Amino acid sequence: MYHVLVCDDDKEIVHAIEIYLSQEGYQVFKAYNGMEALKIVEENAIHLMILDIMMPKMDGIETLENVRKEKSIPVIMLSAKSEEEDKILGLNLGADDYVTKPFNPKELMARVNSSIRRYTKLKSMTEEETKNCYQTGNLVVDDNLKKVTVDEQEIKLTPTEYNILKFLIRNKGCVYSIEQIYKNVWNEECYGAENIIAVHIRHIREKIEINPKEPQYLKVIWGIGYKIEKI
Amino acid sequence: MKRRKFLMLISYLLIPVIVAMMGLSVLSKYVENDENFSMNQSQYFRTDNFVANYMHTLGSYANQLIYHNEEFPMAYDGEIQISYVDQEEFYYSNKIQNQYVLICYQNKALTNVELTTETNTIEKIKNYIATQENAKIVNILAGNTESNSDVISNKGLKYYDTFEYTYYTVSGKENVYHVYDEEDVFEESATNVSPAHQYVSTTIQDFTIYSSYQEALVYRTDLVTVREWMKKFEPLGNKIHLILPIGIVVLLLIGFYLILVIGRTKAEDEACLNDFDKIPYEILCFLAFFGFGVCILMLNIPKHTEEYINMAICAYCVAYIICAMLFHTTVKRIKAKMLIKSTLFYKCWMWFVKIVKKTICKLKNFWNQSTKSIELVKKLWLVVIGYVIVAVILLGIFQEFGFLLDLVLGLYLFHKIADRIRCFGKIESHLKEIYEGNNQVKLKPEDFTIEFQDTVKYINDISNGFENAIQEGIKSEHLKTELITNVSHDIKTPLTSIINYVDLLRKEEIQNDKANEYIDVLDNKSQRLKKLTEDLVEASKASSGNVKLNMEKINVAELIKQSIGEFEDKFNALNLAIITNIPEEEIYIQADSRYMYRIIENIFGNISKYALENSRVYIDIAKKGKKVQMDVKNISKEILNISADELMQRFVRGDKSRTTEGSGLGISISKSLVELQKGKLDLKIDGDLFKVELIFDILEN
Repeated sequence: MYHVLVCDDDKEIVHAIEIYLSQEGYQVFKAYNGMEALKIVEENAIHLMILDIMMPKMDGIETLENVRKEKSIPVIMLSAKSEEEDKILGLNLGADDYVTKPFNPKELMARVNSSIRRYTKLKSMTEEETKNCYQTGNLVVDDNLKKVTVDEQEIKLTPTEYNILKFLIRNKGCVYSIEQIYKNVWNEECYGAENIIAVHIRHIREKIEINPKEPQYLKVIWGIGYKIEKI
Repeated sequence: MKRRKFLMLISYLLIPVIVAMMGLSVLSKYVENDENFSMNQSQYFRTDNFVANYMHTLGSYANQLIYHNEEFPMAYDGEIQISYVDQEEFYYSNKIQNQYVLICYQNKALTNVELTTETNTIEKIKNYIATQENAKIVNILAGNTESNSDVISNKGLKYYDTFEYTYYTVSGKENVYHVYDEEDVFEESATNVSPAHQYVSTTIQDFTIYSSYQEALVYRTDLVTVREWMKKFEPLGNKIHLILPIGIVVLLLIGFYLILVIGRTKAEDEACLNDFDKIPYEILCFLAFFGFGVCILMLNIPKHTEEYINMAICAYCVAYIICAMLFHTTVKRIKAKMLIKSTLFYKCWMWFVKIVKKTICKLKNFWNQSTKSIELVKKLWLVVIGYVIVAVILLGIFQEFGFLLDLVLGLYLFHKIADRIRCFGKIESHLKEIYEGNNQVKLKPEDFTIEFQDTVKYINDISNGFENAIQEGIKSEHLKTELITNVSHDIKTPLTSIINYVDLLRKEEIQNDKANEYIDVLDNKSQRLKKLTEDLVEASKASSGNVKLNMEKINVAELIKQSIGEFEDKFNALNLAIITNIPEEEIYIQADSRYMYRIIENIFGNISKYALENSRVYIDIAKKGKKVQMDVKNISKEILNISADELMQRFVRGDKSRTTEGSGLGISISKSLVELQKGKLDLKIDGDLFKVELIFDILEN
């Protein structure tokens, strides 16, 4: 059983998250400000932290800085601030994920699961990239078995979707326009069929991403193309 | 600091001592070498020099008798009229004491023997003179001298009168003395009298002179005391070859030292002036001269007295102090570059210049003020008429040359008029800039002629007013954005709980249908509230420009294709046919890719909400010159009884009942974002046809 610490000054929110986490089978520790959170982290073996930013006594940013001095446990920041700069600040300080309030409980749970899995299993997986097996973060495309897994859960893709994903993950980090993807996957010029690619990619995103609108792996660079993020 | 002052004081004290030593050494040497000084009394009375002086005195008496006798008290001895002259009047530098004279010429006589009853006839006076104690009797009759003194006897005294010039000649043992006046004694060899002196108109020889004198002269000059005193310094005079060079070297050294040191105080290079150094330099010079005058006056006492030496020392000290002070302040002033500035003349000159400048300025202002009020057109008329008159006059006076003057004057006036026309041009172009929204640039009053000063001021004030209004607007917009952001943060926290607990409630598997229905409503509305708060923040940020743009090179076609891909499902659900018209050529624009998608997302989102089912959506991309235009057209499901302008305002929606989802901020956000990226968004409504136009600048290469 994994231990998750939830820290927010709003008791109802902490309670709701506790309910969701318990349903997922986690043991929940609760804190209502940064000081309490630090104390709990010190005294218990915590596997993941959900941390609000705006809190009394010690805010989330300061708490995160203190935690990061000693531990590398995954931290998901939770905040009403949705501005880009706030997200970047949180991520730069060492947060693993950033969820804005009001959040979708399912999405939060998915992110918690993903982070926990990455944290506990990552080490054994890193060297698994062998021949015809591609990986970024928790996304693995095994070309030998024609199998795609995210957080070790198998994802069912159509052959076209699989080919597009395989092409992108083989060249992870590079941005490809619709036309380039078409040419590389179908090996022929495309005439008017470009919309299909965009649709396929949206479908892939919906299958592999926790929140398709804020993708983690398959990113859309609007007006330029698509890429698989190198994680 | 103190040491320096002490050294300066020592220097100043040393100078007079050294100068005095040098002066005394030279003077004592000179005194020693003076022949006459060492000559004793009896020797002097054997020289021709004495004869000349003695005769000169007699000559003067003669002169007096001939020309000025009537001024004196008189006595009569028969026919002869005797005049008396005070002895002191003829007390000449030869200092022959107790000299008595009686001069007779025709029926006049002159004597310095006081006329009393004892001495009121020629005979009595002659007796008086002859009976003087110790007297050397001198009788000169008609120019021949008879005397009991060997020196005087057998001397001739001749008196000449050239009417412009009188002189007398004394012929001595060896020499002839021509005596013009007291100082002017020429000595000549007796055998060789120069012809110039024989040029005489009258020779008066028929004097009868009776005279007596005492050889009572002690010393020839009255500098005796001084000379006696000087003798004390003979040892100095003996070392003159040492004292002079050493003194000069020491003086030079002290002088250099003083020049270096004077005026230096705390700050090393700054010459420090005190009140004394601020006294006008001429006044100081004048005072110094006055001081020297006083010194000279101090010496104006009999030179044979003891006081004279004391006075001389005093005068020397005073004069030295004056010199030293003058030197000190002069060096200081030169160092402070104040010598000229501290003169009264300079001050007067500056004052004069100031007054002149002020006057000129006043006159100019007066001229400007008085001409400013005249209307420009009237001024032009005055100038033209004035020019014609002046031109005709010039032509009349100077003829051909006048034509040239006319031309020059004409060009000058033309230049002045052109200046004013140019001002109009400047004002016009500036107004155009303000009209176009550039309030930053201000008109400079100095670029304009006097007539336009007020106009320029008004225009600048107006533009400032605009500027301030805009700044105020931006400021209040920022405040509003901040407020909205803060409020929305505060709303989001309780909203989170609402959403979460509604979700938890749903999971409770309530068997009551109504309750489930209510939960659906709660879920729906809380989601809507969430969307609304997010949009509100975004809209206020976008409209106030409080957005960080990350500009990139974006392919328009790619963007549209990607976006269509995102909305494919929604369009398909409404059975909308997408008809794209995208040129082969790749068109790039400079924009922020995330915000570009937000814009397209809003437009497509609206289509998915409001488009008529089973209709067609047209998406066209077209290049128009240096711009690219993206048109999105669809058919509205409802009747659009609203104008495009209204639709673009915040919180306005196509369906006035506001039942459908959406915040009514989408188009407003899109428009703001487009404008932030220097693009243009237009809505067009034509019946049921709803058209969005997006126009951006094409990015070349």
